[in-house]
Amino acid sequence: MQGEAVIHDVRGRLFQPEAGFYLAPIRHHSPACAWAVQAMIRDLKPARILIEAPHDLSHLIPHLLAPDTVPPVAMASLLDQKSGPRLAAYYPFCSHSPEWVALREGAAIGAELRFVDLGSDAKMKASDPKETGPQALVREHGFDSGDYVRALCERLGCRDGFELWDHLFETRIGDGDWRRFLGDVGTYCAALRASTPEDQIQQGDDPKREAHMAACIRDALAQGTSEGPVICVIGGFHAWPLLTPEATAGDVQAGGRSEASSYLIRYGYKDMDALMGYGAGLPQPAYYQALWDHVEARETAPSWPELAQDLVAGFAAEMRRNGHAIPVPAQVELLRSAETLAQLRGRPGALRHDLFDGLTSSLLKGESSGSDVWRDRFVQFLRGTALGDVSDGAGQPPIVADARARAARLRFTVTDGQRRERSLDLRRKPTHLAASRFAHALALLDTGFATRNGGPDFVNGLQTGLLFEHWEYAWSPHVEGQLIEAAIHGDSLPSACLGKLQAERAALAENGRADDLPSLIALFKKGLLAGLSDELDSFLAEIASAINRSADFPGTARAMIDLHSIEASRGPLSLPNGLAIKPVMQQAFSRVIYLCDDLPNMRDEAIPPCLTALRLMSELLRSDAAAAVEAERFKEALDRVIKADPAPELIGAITAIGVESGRRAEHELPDLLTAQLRGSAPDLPTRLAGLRGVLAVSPSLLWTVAGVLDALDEFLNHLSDTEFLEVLPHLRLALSALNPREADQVAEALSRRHGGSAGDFSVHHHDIAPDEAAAGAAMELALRQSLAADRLEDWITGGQA
Amino acid sequence: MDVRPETAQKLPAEQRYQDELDRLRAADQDPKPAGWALSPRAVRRFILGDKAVQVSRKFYGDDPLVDRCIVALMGHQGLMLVGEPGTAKSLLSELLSAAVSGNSRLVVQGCAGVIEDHLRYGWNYALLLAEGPSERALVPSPVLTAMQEGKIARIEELTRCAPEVQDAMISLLSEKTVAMPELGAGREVRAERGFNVIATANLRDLGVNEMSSALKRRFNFETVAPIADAAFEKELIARQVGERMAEYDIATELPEDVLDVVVSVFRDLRTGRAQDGAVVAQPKSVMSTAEAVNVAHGALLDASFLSGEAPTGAHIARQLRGVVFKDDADDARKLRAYVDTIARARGRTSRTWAIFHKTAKDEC
Repeated sequence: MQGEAVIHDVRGRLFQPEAGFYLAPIRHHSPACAWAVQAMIRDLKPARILIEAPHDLSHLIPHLLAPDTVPPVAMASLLDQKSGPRLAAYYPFCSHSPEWVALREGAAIGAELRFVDLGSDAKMKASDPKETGPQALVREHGFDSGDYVRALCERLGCRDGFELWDHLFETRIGDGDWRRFLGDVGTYCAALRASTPEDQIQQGDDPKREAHMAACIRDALAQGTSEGPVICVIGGFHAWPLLTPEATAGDVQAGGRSEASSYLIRYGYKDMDALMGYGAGLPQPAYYQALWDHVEARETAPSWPELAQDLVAGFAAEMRRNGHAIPVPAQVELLRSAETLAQLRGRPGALRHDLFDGLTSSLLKGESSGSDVWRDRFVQFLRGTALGDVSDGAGQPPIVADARARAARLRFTVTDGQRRERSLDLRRKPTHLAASRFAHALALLDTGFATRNGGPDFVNGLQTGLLFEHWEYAWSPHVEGQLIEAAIHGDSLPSACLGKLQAERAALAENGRADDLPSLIALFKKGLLAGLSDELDSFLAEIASAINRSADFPGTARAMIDLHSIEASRGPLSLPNGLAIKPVMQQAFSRVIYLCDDLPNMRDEAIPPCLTALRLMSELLRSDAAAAVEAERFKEALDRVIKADPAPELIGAITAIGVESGRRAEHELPDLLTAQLRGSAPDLPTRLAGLRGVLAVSPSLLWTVAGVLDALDEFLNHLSDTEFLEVLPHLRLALSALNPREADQVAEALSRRHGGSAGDFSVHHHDIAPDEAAAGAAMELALRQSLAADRLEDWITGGQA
Repeated sequence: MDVRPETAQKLPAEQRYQDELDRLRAADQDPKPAGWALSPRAVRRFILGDKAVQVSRKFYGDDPLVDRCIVALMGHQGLMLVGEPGTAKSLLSELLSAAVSGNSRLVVQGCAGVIEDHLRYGWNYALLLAEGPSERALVPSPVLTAMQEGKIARIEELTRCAPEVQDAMISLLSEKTVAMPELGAGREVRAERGFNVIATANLRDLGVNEMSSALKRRFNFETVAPIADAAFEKELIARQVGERMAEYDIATELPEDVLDVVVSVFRDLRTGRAQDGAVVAQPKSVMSTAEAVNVAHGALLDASFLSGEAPTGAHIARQLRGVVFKDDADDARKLRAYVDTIARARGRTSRTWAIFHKTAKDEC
């Protein structure tokens, strides 16, 4: 049967009172459908209600119906595969889900409730292995793409399938005539199906699912309809083959064993919205929740202006609390625009898209880029933050079992609550490394299971050479509680860790720190330590894009060094094979080069970190990391910097790098220093700036390059005592870059210059305060002058002065 | 002065599309706001097209934007169209006023030389001296005319007007009245229903004046975005370059691969993201389709009249700096970074890109 015939067939036979069989075609999470399903059940008082949900999750129905289960909740199903990762999929419910309403209404009239879809294990196996992220057990076809939707959108002036759906159906929520409403949904979905190529339908698991659902309907009808009819609540796309259950089912047997294990978890609107992104239901659940609550309270069709007003007022109130008050005229304009747009578009009132358009018109002043802060805020508001609750009787999620199993395997004692210590030999024993990763993972999830007392701190890069890691750990109910909390991020330890890291990254972004490179790299390191591998790909991508936005030369250089140290690391931070860090390093390198051009315009206080960064970069490029990047570009960039006349420190540092790498002639360094030291800068310490730059980058040049010490020595010799005292602290600061051995070497070289050995210049140290020393020096000067005035210098110095 | 359809370079929208407007008016069943020539839905159909009454689509890209513009004009706020140059802001403003008022010619062309009189009224000084202030001697501005007739007034490039001139708009937009004390106490013109203002502005160019927040509050802002579809943009550039080259007696056009380089360079730098997803530092300069046409046109002229060879990536590279990076040293850095990374990588597999990379590297 094709095209129009399918549509007419569905229209005519959705409800078959003579057979006691009614189909309720719906769109998941649609409040308008929920309303119609509610009216239908109250009207027909069915004996059995069949719901499109995996049959192997039926054991969760009592927990779903428990009075202390509050939506949003989700049925989670897990499947261990022989090869490949463990699969997890979710079936979320919110209070405006037609399925939820069907369950609650059905229970109220004592109807038998059944889940009729194919087992969740089969559905997970059929899913695309390339798809990452949480999987949805409710899938919908073609509501947002396809020729039919496009053509209708064009005709009705809607921008996408979501707006089209709202325009056609959500506007009719509260409609008393459920037959007409569900008939129209059925027709719409039948048209979607008729315009979907048959081979596309056959390719997926739809035929199997439909056969299974048909078999369930067949069985339910076979039980008789004398106590009441059978209602089947089904995604509208599947309505047509289910009109004739016997034919579609063939000899398929319903039910059967499932390899998946399933449980009920509390769920949140945030996760639900993310799951919607994968093709199920409607986005921004708080909006539809508001619509549902509004209609529930009125018990009839909504007052659209009132709803829009409530939403805008609620949004304005929340924004005021967050310190972004919206002036009343702007609120009025928002409402007016939204309402007028709705009229223009032929709607009874402002829908979600109209509200967004109204917001764009009234609140965005200035040029808007793709994402605007106000739109983002409104998206967040309409997404909502509601968290559900699960009945206490619903049992424990498997993440707890997963953690316990791993702990036992890695020889952590978890049978009692006693605190124990454990030392792990990270680099030599793979099992110890695995244990360390486990402990890090549990620490990442804030479970309080283990605390690190000693050993290398890889996240902060402290003492990374240590071989042993020392932990103190204990299992407790608190650990289990925290794990259950973490179940929202994932069903196993690795997936929960990943979810947790993603949540932390999202929190960074929400606090305006999306570009905080050290924090992003720390998150990445935490993931590595917890044993995550290719899943961390998105973090690398995030780091790469933060690098590309970075305006901070030292920070970017630091990030490049960090990335290189991870790349070179062979211990707990060693990279899994699938993660390509080199391109990110190369990007950091390009960014560093780009930011080099800022160096000539640096403020004085920003220069010291830049010197450190230059040193790190030149060291890095002398190491094996140079092979990964085009080091020549860095050198070219430095040439450009020096031409642009930067601060003298930078000239010193860049010349030193050039001399060290052989790019510049050796004599350039003493020439530069001599020129600076002899220069006419009235402020003596500034003449030392070049030297500071050289010492910050490569102290050894002081004695390895001929003429450098001479230049300094000559400068000091020409200073008067007062001048020397003025320069002294600055000289000390500059020379503090030397370590004691290097300082000795400089002393040796200097003493050779003046004859004698370094020991001759050793002084006895006295506790003399600087002002006393100054007073002494002043007195000596006065004495010398007085002796000179009396022409007695020769007499007092024996003719040697 | 009247437009002479036979010789005018370009006719106003209401004359260019007179047939379509007539058909829409005849078929218009929907309610019209006071003072409007068409109903809001018919205005929408005029701009976005309606095959049923043979009305062509005139504005591409963002349909909800057009809805919002129409709704803004129905309210008390003015409509401010902002966005990069070359995104058809003025076209949209012309189409809207032609459809709403049947007249798109009540225009103030904003520039630094505009004074308050151009927004309110001036005088015929001969009459003023001869008769003193009288209605006969008064010269109404396009805005005043629009108020008297209940039509849409257009102000192009509002941000190019001096701040004090912009200020004159504030009370005009909130009070919707112009007082004329010279004609006697209490004399004023109150706007008829149907009056509103469409302004276009450029917020990013250099040499524009910042808008006061009081003025911003009186406008609904709509950002007209550059063309989102790369293939369509390429076609548009090719077409416009072709139109410009028609003025010269030389048959030449940009080869496909060179045109691809132009489109890619402009799109990558404009969006901050290369086709393969790599992040690109965005210059402050306007990377609009209009500028892309300038670059392509310049490259073609260079190739045809100066170097006398077939246009290559090198001609594009030579034009880029002069045409695009006019006034910001920082932008040159960003272009260099782009050339160093993206263009270099592409040059490994494409000859056109390799030539572009080599020349651009020397130019920067």
